[in-house]
Amino acid sequence: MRKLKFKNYKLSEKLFIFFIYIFLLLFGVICIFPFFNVLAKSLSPEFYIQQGRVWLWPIRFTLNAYVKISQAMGIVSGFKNSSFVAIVGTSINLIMSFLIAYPLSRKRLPLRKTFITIVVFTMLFPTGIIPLYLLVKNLGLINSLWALIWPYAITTFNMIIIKNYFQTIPDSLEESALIDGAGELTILFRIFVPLSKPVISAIGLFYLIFNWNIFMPAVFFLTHPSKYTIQVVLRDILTQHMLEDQLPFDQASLMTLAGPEAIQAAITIVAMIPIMAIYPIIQKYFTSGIMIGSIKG
Amino acid sequence: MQNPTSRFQAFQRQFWKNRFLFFMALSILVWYAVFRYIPYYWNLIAFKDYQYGLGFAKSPWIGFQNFKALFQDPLFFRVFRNTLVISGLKIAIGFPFPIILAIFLNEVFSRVFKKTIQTITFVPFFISWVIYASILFAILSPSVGMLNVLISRLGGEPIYFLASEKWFRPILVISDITKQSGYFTVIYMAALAGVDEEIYEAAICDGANLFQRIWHITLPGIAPVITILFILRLGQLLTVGFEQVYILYSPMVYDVGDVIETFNYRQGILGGRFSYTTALGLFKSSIGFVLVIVSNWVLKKITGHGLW
Repeated sequence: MRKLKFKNYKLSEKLFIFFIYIFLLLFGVICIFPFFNVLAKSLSPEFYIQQGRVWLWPIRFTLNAYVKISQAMGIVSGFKNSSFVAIVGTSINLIMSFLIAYPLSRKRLPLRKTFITIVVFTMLFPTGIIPLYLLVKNLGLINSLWALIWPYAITTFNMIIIKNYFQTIPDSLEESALIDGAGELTILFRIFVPLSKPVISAIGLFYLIFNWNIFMPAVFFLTHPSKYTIQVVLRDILTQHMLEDQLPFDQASLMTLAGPEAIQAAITIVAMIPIMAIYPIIQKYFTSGIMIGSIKG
Repeated sequence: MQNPTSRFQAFQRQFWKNRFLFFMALSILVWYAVFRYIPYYWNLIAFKDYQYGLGFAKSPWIGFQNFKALFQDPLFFRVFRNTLVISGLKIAIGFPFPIILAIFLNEVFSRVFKKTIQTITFVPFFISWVIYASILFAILSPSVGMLNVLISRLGGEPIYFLASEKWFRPILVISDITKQSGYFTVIYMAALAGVDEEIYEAAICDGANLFQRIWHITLPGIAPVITILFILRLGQLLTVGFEQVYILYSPMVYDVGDVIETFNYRQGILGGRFSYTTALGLFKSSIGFVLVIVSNWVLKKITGHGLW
């Protein structure tokens, strides 16, 4: 990369580069080993986990823990609820963000400055969580999955990134479309959205991940286990040891089969799968998309 | 010079021409009104004795009573202190950490090594705190945790990290670093990609050593991004992160780990003290707002870069 080769470095510089490699390697190991540990635990019988023998590789490989969780009602419905919020939520996020980002990006919008001020203020002054809770309660959304969608329909920061990108699209494009009699919605969805694919992919992924991971509102607004998202199901398992209610354990079979630790590990892995599945796409779009948006802002 | 009437007429013409655009924006502004501005308005229950049964309008005004009660509550001071200490530690250690990571990665020769480290450290950011906590439990659990198994193999006593007042804050700070650093590193790396390679080469020709290049080229290259992220971070000074603390803490560590957000949840949503916790929330939001405004102004004066 640099023209200067490592062999031309002075001794102090060589030592520093050596230190950099060790430091980065160590930090990488600290970041990744726990994931391997959980994966190994999810694939090992409880007995070996309890003995503290499972490290980075499963002992006596078994899929029992995964079979067990596929039979647990709460976990299956948690998955369904999370998928609903992720898919419906992200669609609403994107459509509503487009609908406001497009007008705000156009200089011809009447009262544009006022609109921008109204919107940006919400970014600087956070909404109080208790007033929001009372609002959700008054709207009758407590214990509804919509409570995780409507109050979070737009993340202003993300919307501004889309708006900044839209701003780079020249007026001349829409002017000719307007003269041809195209409506604003047509211009938005036929011209602006297709032209902004990289940034929209990045923001769409952000919304998707936000929705899949949404937790605090789920804790606040969902009261009945049938509505719990996978994140809340996992919380119950972690903090209240609810696993016993989900799956009755036979103490004798615990020695060879999946137990609480293995099952907890398996749920952790399964809840991560959707994120890991799209991770290559995240990596591809993240840097390009976000930098385009934020630098131009 | 236009006179006011013709200016108004010009506005009318412009408005009529762009009415669809205007109503498109207005329809989404309805959402902002309902889900952002109504909650702002309801912050006023901080000055009321709000009872859910009575509703907003009928609950009596009580002035600054809630704030007085708040500032006399020893629990408030515990929570406020914890918030400042934990958040302060996160900023002091967690904010520079990704900057260092980016600078280090920038000096790595091997592309494969660089890419691998970036990929590995980037993953945890996209995992929810609940899942990450589950992973932390798998390492820190006193009986089966990887770290404690190691400690006992080496002849030590297992440590119950998450129930220990000594360890709880370090765990919050360290897990915050391992989970979030990769994300900010990617942002800094992207900024560094914009630094022209020729500047480094020119510096090498002029005899600048590695440390001088880092100090005079790499750091200035990411300075604007550092400024922006720092302003945003400072605005979050009183936000420790509800999800992280809520999932990791327990009554055993309330003394060192209970923060404004978790306290608000227990008192407000579980305890029904809506006015009291709204007062605390308003206090928190106002400080965050002032911090962003002031730090933006100050940093703009000093560095020339700001959010706006």
